[in-house]
Amino acid sequence: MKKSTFLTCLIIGATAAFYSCKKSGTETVEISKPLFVVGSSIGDTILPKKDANGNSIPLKGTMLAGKTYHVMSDVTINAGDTLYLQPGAKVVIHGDGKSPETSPAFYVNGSLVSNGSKTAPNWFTVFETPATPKTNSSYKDDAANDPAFKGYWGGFQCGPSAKLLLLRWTHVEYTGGPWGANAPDYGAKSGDPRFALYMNSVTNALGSLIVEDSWFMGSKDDGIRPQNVYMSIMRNTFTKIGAGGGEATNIKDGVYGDMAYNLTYGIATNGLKTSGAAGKVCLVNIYNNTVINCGFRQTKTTRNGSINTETNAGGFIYNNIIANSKSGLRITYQSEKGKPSDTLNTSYGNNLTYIGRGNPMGGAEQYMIFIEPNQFTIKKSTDLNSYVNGSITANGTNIGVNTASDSLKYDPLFANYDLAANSIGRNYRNSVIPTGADFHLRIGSPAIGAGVYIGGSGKNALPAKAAAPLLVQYGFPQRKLSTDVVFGASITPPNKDLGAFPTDGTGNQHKY
Amino acid sequence: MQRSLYFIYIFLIFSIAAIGQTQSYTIRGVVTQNSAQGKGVLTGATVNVKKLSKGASAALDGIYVIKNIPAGTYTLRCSFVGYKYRDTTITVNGNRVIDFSLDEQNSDLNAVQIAGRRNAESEASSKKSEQLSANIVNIISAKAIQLSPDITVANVLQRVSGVSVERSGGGEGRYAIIRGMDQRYNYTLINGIKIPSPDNKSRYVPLDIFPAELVERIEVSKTLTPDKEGDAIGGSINMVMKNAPDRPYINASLSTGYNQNLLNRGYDAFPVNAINKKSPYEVKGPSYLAMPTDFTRDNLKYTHKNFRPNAMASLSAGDRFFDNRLGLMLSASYQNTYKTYQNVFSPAEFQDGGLLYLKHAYVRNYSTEVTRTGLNAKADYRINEHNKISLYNFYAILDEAQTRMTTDTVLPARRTRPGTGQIIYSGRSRFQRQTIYNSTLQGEHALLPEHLNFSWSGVYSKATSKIPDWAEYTYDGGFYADAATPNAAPYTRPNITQEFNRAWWANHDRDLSGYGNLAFNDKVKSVPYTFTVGGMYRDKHRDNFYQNYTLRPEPNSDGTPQIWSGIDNFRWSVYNPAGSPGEANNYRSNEKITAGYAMLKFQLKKLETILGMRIENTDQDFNTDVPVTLGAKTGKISYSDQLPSVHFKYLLNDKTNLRLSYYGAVSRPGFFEIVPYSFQGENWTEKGNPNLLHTTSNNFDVRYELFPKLNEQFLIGAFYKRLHNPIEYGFQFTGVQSQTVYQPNNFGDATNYGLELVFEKYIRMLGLRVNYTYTNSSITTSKFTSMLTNGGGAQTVYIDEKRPLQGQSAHIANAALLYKNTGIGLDMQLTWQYTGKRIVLVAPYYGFDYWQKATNTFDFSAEKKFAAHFSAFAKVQNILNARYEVYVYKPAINAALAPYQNAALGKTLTERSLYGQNYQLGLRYIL
Repeated sequence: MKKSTFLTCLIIGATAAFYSCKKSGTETVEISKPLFVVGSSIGDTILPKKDANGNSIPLKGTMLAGKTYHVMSDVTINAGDTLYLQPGAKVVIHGDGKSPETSPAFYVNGSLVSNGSKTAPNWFTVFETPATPKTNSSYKDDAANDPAFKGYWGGFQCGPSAKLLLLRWTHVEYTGGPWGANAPDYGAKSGDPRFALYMNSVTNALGSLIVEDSWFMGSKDDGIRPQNVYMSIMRNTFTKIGAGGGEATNIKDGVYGDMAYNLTYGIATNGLKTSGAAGKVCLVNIYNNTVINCGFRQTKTTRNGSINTETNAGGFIYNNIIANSKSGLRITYQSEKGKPSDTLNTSYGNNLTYIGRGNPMGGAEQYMIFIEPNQFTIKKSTDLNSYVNGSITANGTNIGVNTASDSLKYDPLFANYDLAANSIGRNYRNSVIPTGADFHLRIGSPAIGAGVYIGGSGKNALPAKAAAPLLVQYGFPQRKLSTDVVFGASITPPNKDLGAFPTDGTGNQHKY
Repeated sequence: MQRSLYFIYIFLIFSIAAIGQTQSYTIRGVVTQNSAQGKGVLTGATVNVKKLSKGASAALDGIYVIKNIPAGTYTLRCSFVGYKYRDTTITVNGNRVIDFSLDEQNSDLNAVQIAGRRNAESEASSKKSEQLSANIVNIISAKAIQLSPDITVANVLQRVSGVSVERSGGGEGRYAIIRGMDQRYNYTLINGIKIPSPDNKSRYVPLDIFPAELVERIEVSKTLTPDKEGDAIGGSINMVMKNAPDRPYINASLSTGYNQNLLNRGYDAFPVNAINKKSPYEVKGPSYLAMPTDFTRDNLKYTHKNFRPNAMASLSAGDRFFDNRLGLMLSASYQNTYKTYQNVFSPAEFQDGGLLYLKHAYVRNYSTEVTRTGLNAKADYRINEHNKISLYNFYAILDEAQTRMTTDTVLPARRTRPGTGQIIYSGRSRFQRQTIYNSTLQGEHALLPEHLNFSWSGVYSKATSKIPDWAEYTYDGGFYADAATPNAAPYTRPNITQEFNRAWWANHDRDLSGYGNLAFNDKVKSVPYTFTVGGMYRDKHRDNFYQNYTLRPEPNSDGTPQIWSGIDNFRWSVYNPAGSPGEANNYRSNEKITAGYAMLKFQLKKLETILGMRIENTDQDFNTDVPVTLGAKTGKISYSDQLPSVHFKYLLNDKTNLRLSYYGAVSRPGFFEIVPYSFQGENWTEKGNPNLLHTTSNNFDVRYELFPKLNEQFLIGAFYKRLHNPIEYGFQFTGVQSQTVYQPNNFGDATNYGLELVFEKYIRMLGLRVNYTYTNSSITTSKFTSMLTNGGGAQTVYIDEKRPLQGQSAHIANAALLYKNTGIGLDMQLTWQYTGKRIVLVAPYYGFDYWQKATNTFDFSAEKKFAAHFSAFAKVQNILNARYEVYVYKPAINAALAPYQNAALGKTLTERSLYGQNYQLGLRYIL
């Protein structure tokens, strides 16, 4: 077969596939699921209840669909207990973020399963009062005043005995209230903001962290911060994470899992970050994510601003789209905090980086580059960016040059989001996803068909690195979690298209 | 260097001048004292030939020499203050040797006292006490203190064999390390009584709070008898405060001086009176939410000042009244000193594969003003010859105002070459006031004279420390190479304002204690013995308060970060408006010690034996402000220790002793250490450890003592200690990433053995004192490291690492060269102190311990008498400006050489300070 004929066939085939996918995507199928209850249902809507001494009674059982629960102070789920939220349960937290006592948190020592659905999502949000208003679309870039960053409540803090934290089709908003006296138990110090979700099995058997199809909006510092767990973070949307620093996901040592099909938009530092510890790996595959407008609210320098791995972190990093962010993927050698990534157990490529403006935009830390030099990262042949690799130094780092004039190149052509227009002025700092925005790919997008996938060949072949023992052992994607419909993870494998919203309609299901 | 040579040169000239010529006849001899303590030379006693109005005074070896005496008959008078003079008539028709032995005045009043007091200030009597003491003890007399180039007691202490001093950041010695044992293994007594420490971290008093001039003498005991409290594995330090003399006494001095660094660099001051003494939480109550306006700016406004002279004054006065029955002694001392120095700090970062990488080079410029006031009052009343009581009061205030200006060069990329990269700047104001109050009522009663003596003490002490509004601001800038054109000249990155921290600390310690001892003396078949029983009880209470606030910069209205343009323009919000109540840093703790002992002392021919047993009960508790839902809110710890001991002293002859001793001892964790506190310390996050165990030890000592001549000695000793659960500070992993906390811990058992040598020799006006201690301590702990396979995939490995105990130097040596010309009233002393390398910080990583480099310190002092009661004195400390340097014995792998590093050394400098020379010039009046 001639090359041109092959190409023609491929285009026809791809187009046919595109249309067929689109066709099946329009078909709506809704089949009811069996009613599911764990333990006894929770009738009281003012929580937690208090005992005779005024101490809170730990919570377990089932929060019911259609009910709104009011959380007035810290809620604890004891080791061995399960708190289950039926689809359509709503939790409002009464907090103002000014002190640990007035910023209630969920302390999870057992299991918490919020089983929302596409049609009946669950909510964990603040109880709105004049003193604790919610954010609105006018707060595009005003971290000082935006209610999204007030940290009204304390998020989900899991103790070492926690077995499972599962959020499915769940909204988590306005987290970050300060730590109190128990901060050192969670590796923090009193007064620090709490992360939206913290989980660490420490020396116990690894717990499971599953976050699927959920929305995280507004956190004072990091969004998801796990350590020593099996993890799957898929098809979520993160906006307004980190007021003056903070990552949507900041994955630490001892975590094995996948982060895929997430949209991170307007995050203070990185959208997605992995970091192990001395002598301890953090092995997370990062694929098919879309990272936009990240890295510009961080006031500390030498932090990256999109996807970052450091200190013994490894994994497969493929098929991501990074646009209008401070800098592209970084496989760190050294930064102020970070130490060398585990380059042996790292494999990356097929990532697209778009910068709207290649020259510094005025003000501190306000610039966009494809790749930060002096780190391990190089431009791979399958990557779409305009970094010119330099020589590799003795310590394995690369001193290359960014081609500033190649801004606007590699536009992934989102269905309804003009990257060029959204980079001008201070638009690149915006943290509110415009109404109606659609990050699916238009025809002609360089991101279409640029990804690696199961069954792909050539540049689309699923990567393998025989010399890397951990990559071989854990695979791509990883399959360590249960696949139980309620208590397990639903994993979407890498797509032949880049980004969280591939043309075949799989991946992220959110609409904006 | 030049300066020190000059001093040595002067020294030699005087030495040569001292060797005179002889004509006709010469009278010479030794002057000794004849006291209850035995004999000792009386340096400074004068011998006069009445007819010729000619005389000489006894030199360091006690020898006087009067030359050019024609043949004839003369009356000689030998006299010395505090002694009865003695006349003798001789005929000179050739060179004569005439020795004198003087009796003390009023020696009959001394009946109740067991140990001599009146002449306790003299060097000769302290030597004698050492020789006669039942246990192993070193004594420094007030004369030695006065003559040494030391302002503080801690500096005096390092002249004792086996004692080194841990220097605080300012280069001032704060804690004694005895035979390589950290300060926690030693205790400090005032007049035999323990006083609580205002120091946040240690249970014992920092020694730099005591001006040396208030102290009559210092006793360093390296073994414990059962009548002493048992928590001194290393040894104990007893400061005997100035006592009422037998005659009117006034000692006043006024002096000034300066620090060389101050002259070179000047210093940065902030207005101390602008500090808010109380936190918003204390002022407005627990429910108050702090506002940005609740925090001051003025205490962070620095002004650069030039040279400031130090001012020091002391006054001691005393007399006895009512037929010498009532003695009163009052002293006051005031010191106002300025210091400035630069500290370079580069923490060693562990990188997988056991590699060391440097991320920061902090250059910290410290400016401190220390004001130290001490008041001392002692009254003793002899009711009759069998009963005596005394009341002692001590009050000290130590104020320290410290400015710290930091420039932190961040070493990873963005710094691709010198002159580029991220730089973080900060300014810190810290003011600390420590106070100690102690009141001790003591009595001594001969219930059955010659047979039964009873002594008791009642003690009240209060110690406080306050650090109001510890404040540090930070901003982040530097010089960045453009990512697109990395080789072009870097641009100046705007300074972005960062977090602003404020904290208030306060602690109060209160002690109530009572001691009682009953001693019975008798003989069994001409074998004299003393049987002593006694007990003590102490109730110690501490209150600790801590409140911290984080202020964060407000972004600009367009969302961009705030740019630093001075403290006046800084806009902040209060990140934790409620402060930090409910933290374990807010706590109350108690410690109750009950002890009893029985001790028998007897002498069989030439063998003196002390044997006995001490039992100590410890009850500790703490109660923190954390909520009941958290663990370790309260804690109670109690234990009992049985501490046997036996001491032998064998008198080989009247000049030689052989000693052998065994004793059991303990070391308790500080109050602070067992509380589960957590806060950001000077360099690290620090955390308490409620599971800390107390240390117990078995100690063996052997010592050979030779006193060949009066005032000369040669001592050689060896010791062996076996420590169970010694406490050291090290880093512990928290379980959150590689996060570590700096925490007191038991790292296992340790052994400590060594050898001590002391040599003293006096020839006429020259004296030489040398001591040397070799200590070998070892402890083996498991350390973390990792191995890389195929260039990645780090594997954690734990390896046992053997090391000396923290703070322990293998070699410690002191030498002093003295010159004393009593004829012209000139004293001079040149001293050298050597402290071998030692571990200052125990790392959690294999091969990452921080070692302080060996230091050589030279000090010089001189005093010249003039007129009747006046003298002028000069002191130079740290003549060679010794470097305080700390190394990790591993090279750094940074691609671009880090600042202050020397790649050729093959090791990494983690800390360096140069404290500069201190000069002092003063005037003293002694009645």
